[in-house]
Amino acid sequence: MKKVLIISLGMIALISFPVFSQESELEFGGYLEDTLSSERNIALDKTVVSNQTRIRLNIKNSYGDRGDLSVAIVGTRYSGYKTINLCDYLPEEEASRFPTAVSYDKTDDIWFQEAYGSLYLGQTTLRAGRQKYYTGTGYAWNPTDLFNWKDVFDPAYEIEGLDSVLFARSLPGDSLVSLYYSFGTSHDRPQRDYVESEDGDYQFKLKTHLFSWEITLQHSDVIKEYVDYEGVLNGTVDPTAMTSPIRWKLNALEVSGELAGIGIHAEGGEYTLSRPDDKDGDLPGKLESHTKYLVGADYTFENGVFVILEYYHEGLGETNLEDYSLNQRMAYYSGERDSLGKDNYYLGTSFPVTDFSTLALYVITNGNDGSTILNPWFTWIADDDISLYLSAQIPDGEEESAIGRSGSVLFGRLVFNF
Amino acid sequence: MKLRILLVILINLFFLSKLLVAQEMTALEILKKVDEVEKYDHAIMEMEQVITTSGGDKRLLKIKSWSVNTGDKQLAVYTYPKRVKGVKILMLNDGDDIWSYSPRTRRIRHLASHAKKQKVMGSDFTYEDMGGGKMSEKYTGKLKGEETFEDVSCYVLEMIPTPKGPSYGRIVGWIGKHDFVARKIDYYNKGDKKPFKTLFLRDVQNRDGHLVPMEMVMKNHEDDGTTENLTLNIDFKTPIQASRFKSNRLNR
Repeated sequence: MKKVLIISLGMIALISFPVFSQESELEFGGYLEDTLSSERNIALDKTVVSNQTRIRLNIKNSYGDRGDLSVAIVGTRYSGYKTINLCDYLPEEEASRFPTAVSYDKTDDIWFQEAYGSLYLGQTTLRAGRQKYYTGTGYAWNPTDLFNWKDVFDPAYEIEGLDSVLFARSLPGDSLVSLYYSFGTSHDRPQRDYVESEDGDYQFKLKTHLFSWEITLQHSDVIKEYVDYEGVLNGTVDPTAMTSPIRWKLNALEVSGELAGIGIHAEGGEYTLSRPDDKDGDLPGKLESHTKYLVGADYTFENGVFVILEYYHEGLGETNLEDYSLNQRMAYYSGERDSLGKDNYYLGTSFPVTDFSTLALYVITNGNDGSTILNPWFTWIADDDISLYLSAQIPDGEEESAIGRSGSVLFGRLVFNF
Repeated sequence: MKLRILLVILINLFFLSKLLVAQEMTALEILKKVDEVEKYDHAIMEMEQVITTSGGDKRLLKIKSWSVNTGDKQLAVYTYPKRVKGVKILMLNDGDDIWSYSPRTRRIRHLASHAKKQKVMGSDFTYEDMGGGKMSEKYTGKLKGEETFEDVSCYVLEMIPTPKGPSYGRIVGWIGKHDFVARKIDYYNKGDKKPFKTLFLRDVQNRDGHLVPMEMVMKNHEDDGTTENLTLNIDFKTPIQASRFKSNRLNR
């Protein structure tokens, strides 16, 4: 009810823009993207090929400097191998514990990735509706971003919009104070039945500058799901109650700047976890209050070679692969968590081969179990509006390590912007 | 009598030559003159950029930019092609602080100053080529002589970057003797004897009392590519709100 009220009020305010302003500019755009991928499925002992065709249509109506209405509609169509079975990535011994596959099929879909209205009142921005919202300074990982899931193999790819309201106000000295309230729903997660609307997620942020450093203080309060596969398999948890809400409270700091000409970025904070559905209950599995942080450095050499290095400390990570639990592994393969190990490294380098093409190599290493994934990228701007991306993921490590039974992946992506 | 006249002429010629030598400008004075010519309070510019590879492959980009205090603060917004439409680059403090914004991801990124060495959108211009600042503060100059370049009489200056200056080893500039507008600049890497790229500045026009080279061509000698920047429109009269240069507002 509260959600409907806020969105309605926001939309009413935005629809009234034409009253305030004569000038209005309507823009159309978007892209058509085709991704062909080939993955070695070790569990099935075969190479599976899949194709995703994705189209995004952007429509934006700007009312001068007073605001805008923006909609992004995304449609996807899949062909080839469409099944994602999380058990395929588990070590064989763990996978054999499941009587049935934990899988889903990718289905053709069309949805609103974004649909929001913005109102700009001098130094104040009010944005309501489905919108993208980021936080964090890290490239490969953003441990202080509790709202989004990030793909370490394609960290610059666009994210999904969240149903939310943003209030931001610029302060003197290019500082900013903002309050972001999310209903916790999006296209990927249409509803959260177990949480009352009053338990929505929020983030308070204060960003400022000190010399050439950008510094952000953040407090977040987010409800995330915990899925207890282990409990179901052990018979201690009813399958209908295998998902429980966990409240994540975060006090964090983000910085970016430079030291001796080297770019430095860092983010991290203290996470306090609790169960909103059972105030006296213990946290399930291996969950506990903890600390996460990321420290990174980057540099561009005279010849144009760019290098980035990041270290990510995951407080909930393990130092030994024998300690990985089934629930931790499942959360990792489903994207609910971004690492199994406590100490993670990301090394990347890119080089402009020609004016319109770039070659890059990224190496993602779990410092605790020794597993490594090589992630080369080749980018070619084929025409003014056509880009081609070729990439691979080449894992190396024990089956019991974080990579499990992940096989090599090759993919090509062609993007036409219109 | 003839001898006396000859003596007077010789004496006059001697003093005249002394006077001319005294009027010969030092490199620092020339650089300060360049700073005066390049100085502006605010400018709004529309530009086309044509990138041509050695194979003849071409890309056209269109850019609208706002800048104040001779480029101390600059905001560039790409308007064409669709692939980069809406990408914004904000440079503050003469290009020492750079932010970029991508409309596809809606993400604002703060770049470290080493990013100034990177090429912008595949062009032969780097962020530091686009950065503002005073030539007399970014370089220490040495007058190498005078030459005529493309029918313009020029001072030839060798310039070594100061700690505030760009990352190049040195540059050599051909500066118009009468208007103090640069006509050609050779860029050298540290220790190199040959320039790795050369900037040609042509079609100098007076716009709102400012001399502006409407055509800038950067020739890259390493990959044989070129980038042409063609100024379509430049407006020095319309004031620009300071809020346009706030990094927090890039996603508006």
